[in-house]
Amino acid sequence: MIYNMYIFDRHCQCIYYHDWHRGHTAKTAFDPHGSNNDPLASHPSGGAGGGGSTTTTTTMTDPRQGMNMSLEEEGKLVYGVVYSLRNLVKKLGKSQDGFIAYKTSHYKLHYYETLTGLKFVINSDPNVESLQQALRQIYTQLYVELVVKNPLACATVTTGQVNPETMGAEGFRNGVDRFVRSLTMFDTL
Amino acid sequence: MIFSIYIINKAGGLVYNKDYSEGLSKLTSNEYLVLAGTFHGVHAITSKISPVPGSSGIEMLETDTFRIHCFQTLTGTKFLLVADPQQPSIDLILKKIYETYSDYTVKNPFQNPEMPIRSEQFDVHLLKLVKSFNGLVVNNSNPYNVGNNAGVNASLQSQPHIPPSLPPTLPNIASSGQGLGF
Repeated sequence: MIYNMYIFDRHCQCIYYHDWHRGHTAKTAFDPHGSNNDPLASHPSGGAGGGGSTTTTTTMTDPRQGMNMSLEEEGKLVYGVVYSLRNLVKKLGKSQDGFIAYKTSHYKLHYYETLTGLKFVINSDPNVESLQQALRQIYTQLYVELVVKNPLACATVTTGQVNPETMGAEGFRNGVDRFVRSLTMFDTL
Repeated sequence: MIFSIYIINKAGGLVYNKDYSEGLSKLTSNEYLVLAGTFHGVHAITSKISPVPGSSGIEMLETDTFRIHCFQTLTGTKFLLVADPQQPSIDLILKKIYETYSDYTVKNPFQNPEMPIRSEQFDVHLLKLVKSFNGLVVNNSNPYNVGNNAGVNASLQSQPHIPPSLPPTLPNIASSGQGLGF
């Protein structure tokens, strides 16, 4: 089961956040947190309808209700964890080593970093083997095609904050949604 | 293959670290301290940023050439084990390390709690434990040793083989034709 996903740029900002089954565990199947996503999961197309459901602004929203921090704060914490672990691994291992994933009792965080300093983070349940290839595909087939090559999208942000919903490229959100929903481990625990 | 072991106290300070192989880079002792502190902090944050409620801290960190496993005891002490990705029976190793720790550190009357561990007995027994598990991996790769059981008992194979001494043989009276004199 895929819980959520973040993308960070090299200026330490969270430029994208997407939520699927956040707060959804086997025990909380009827939890109001999870039920927001359930009617969408039943849609066969899932494309246009799925993208707009999880409106994430900088304040608390339905899927993240009960979380005692805003998306901004959480993004900073996730970035901090990822950055610290990356440096830890670089110190301990050989130079070409990269931190791939970490696991806790309830989730597994997969990490993929591009050569340009873009960081892709995705959380899944602990039994998922490796989402490195999936993250790589999201980068090469979706991000590069729809955001980098899009003259209207904010590729590098120096002033102000990028809208974490769309990044200026509408098709990206739908594309990511469709891609992740197509993964076999998307809704199986 | 076990690369190294770190023990972190509940405040986040490094109380023990030992490298058992040249697989990883050599760091200064200050760098080890920083590493332990960083890991302690990251462990706390990872339970907070969990997408599902009630998560523990980081238990396993994976890279291309090694994996770091973390076992946190109920008292807040963390045992970090750096091993290669194919190392089997990690839970058993961590459990055995904890047992060795409780035998030679906790029960040591001269050991101050939460202070750096400087105990020769602890070093010796940990080294024995690591050797037995590293030796286990080597034995498993031997294609002729198919029936090898996982576990610490495999360490006995690394000891020099002393043939069991046979009991002194009694003279075989029946076959020698002498009889018992009845």
